[in-house]
Amino acid sequence: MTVLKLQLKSRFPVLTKLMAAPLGAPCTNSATLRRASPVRTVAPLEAPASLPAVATRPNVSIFGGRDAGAPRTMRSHGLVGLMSAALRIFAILACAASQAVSAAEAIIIERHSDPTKPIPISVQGYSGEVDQVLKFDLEVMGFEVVSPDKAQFVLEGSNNGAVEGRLTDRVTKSQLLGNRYQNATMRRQAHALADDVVLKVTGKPGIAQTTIAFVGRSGKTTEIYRADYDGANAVPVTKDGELVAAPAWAPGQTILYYTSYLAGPPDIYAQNVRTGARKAIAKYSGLNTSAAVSPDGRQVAMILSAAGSPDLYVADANGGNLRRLTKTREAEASPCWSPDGKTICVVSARGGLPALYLIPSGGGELRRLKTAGAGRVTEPEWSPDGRWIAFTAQWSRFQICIVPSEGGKVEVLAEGEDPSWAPNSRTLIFTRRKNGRDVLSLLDVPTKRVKDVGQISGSWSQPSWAK
Amino acid sequence: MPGVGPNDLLGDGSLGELGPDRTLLNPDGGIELPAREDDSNYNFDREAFRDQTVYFDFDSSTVRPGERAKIKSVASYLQSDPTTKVRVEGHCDERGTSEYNRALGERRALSIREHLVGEGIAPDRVNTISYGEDRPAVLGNDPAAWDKNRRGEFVLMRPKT
Repeated sequence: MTVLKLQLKSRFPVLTKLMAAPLGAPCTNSATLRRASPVRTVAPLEAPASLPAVATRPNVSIFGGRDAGAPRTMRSHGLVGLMSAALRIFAILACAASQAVSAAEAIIIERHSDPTKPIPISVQGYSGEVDQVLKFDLEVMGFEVVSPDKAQFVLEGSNNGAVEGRLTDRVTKSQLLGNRYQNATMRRQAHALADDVVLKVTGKPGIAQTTIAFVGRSGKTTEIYRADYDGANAVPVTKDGELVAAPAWAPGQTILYYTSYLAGPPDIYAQNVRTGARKAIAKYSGLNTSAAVSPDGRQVAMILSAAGSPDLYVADANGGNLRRLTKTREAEASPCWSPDGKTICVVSARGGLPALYLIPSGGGELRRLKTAGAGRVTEPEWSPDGRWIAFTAQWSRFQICIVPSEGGKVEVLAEGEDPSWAPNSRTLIFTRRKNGRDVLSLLDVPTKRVKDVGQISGSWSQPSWAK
Repeated sequence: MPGVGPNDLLGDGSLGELGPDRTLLNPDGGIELPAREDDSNYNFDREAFRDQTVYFDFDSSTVRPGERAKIKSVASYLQSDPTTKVRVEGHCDERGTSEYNRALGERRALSIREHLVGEGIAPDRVNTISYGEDRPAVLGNDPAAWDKNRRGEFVLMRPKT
């Protein structure tokens, strides 16, 4: 199903830029403006009371998190709006001579600039599940939902039959978007709106419409599941009633690799999650586990012990053309690929403690990756933009950490294990222990804010974020 | 049989405990596992070697000297009945991460296997399987449980007649 979106363009795109001063603000001189005082609240830009429905071509891909292209726009005009705009222009001109500097100062004070702090946004007019989904998505993606007077951005709308929303920047007094959605569940429409807000404000694609896989355990049974990134709509991928582990997506949201003991020993399978068709990729003697697909989808790295020790191997994505990359006596584990596919980062215990090593994906020497400040290091994951490697460090507890991908100083982010990057190279999903069971949590790396995924029951672990 | 070559000692020192016959070791770091075969040709007996479970130190796959007698005892039985095989199951406590523990469990099973080979058992009579931390012997989040979970278990395989 495709989410249809109607864009409600601001009626006065040219005039928007002139609306720099708040309507009705007194003409005070710059000395009295204090850095801490917020911009005075003004009436929000008026939107038309009802919109004629306009059919547009679908422009949001159901299985992507990215803005798929410029939507069609719609214009309408009205006298009230023109008069309101005229008043604003008059107010600006009347104050312009003495206020040019202070108007500019007022804008700079408000604009969000510290990347470690969430962006304040107000969300108004929604109810029930849509309200809940919008707020969860925005809080995961680096925003903080606050009251309107504290917000830089205001998202207002409704969900009567369809989700619609208008996003205003209180600093520039401009409408950034006005959309109405259709042809999808309300939950999905809300995710699409959240992504559109994020794209407008940050310039980067959102992740509210992305997919994860994980191991779900209930009692002694484990199965592989896939779900929306927030844990909703979880469906089983396996139904074998056998021990499973280590789900790993191929690029896209269709093919999932995982380890299963369904034939007795641990073997690697690849499964089309839509059709259910499954193929064994590695069924060698001993251990077959830790599949990691290259970013171009053509190869898979794995840990196999058939030669007598758990070592790193690479094969074509269908398992053919097997090549051995390491020949160490100690165990290797958990390979991951650089975004350009040229390097693999792998755990090795060859130095005594488990640590990270880099090796050319075509074969070569293991080179230790410096992780200063961390002790035992496992489960690396390379960010899609290539800049960071996230991993689990172990002191007395497990900690999610990142290190620059060339090695260096480690930053501890949160307590937990087994991180996986979102496509935005900003959000991590990981596992943590909560009240006696494993739950999945979402971490916004710049602000370090953590939100647990919605999870009804059981233990969820070993997440893999589809990219 | 893998040929003679320099030992690839890379840290845990367990090769020194194998005794004089070091040539059995693949210079690349291990003894190749035999090809997979059909488990349904065998009966699996978990009780025969219940008392020979080998225990390991934290994050280690080295067989401690005090554990070696158990392996000798298993080797002795296998020598007495050449139709049998054994599967070594490697396990870990919960304190490592999931996939690292799966690899470590396998490394433990392989270390035990190397000792069996050192005792004269043919490599193709011993196979391995790792369960990582997923099949604890004792449930619990304390050292007493952890000690009992870092282990290698022997499962006797008798051919079905």
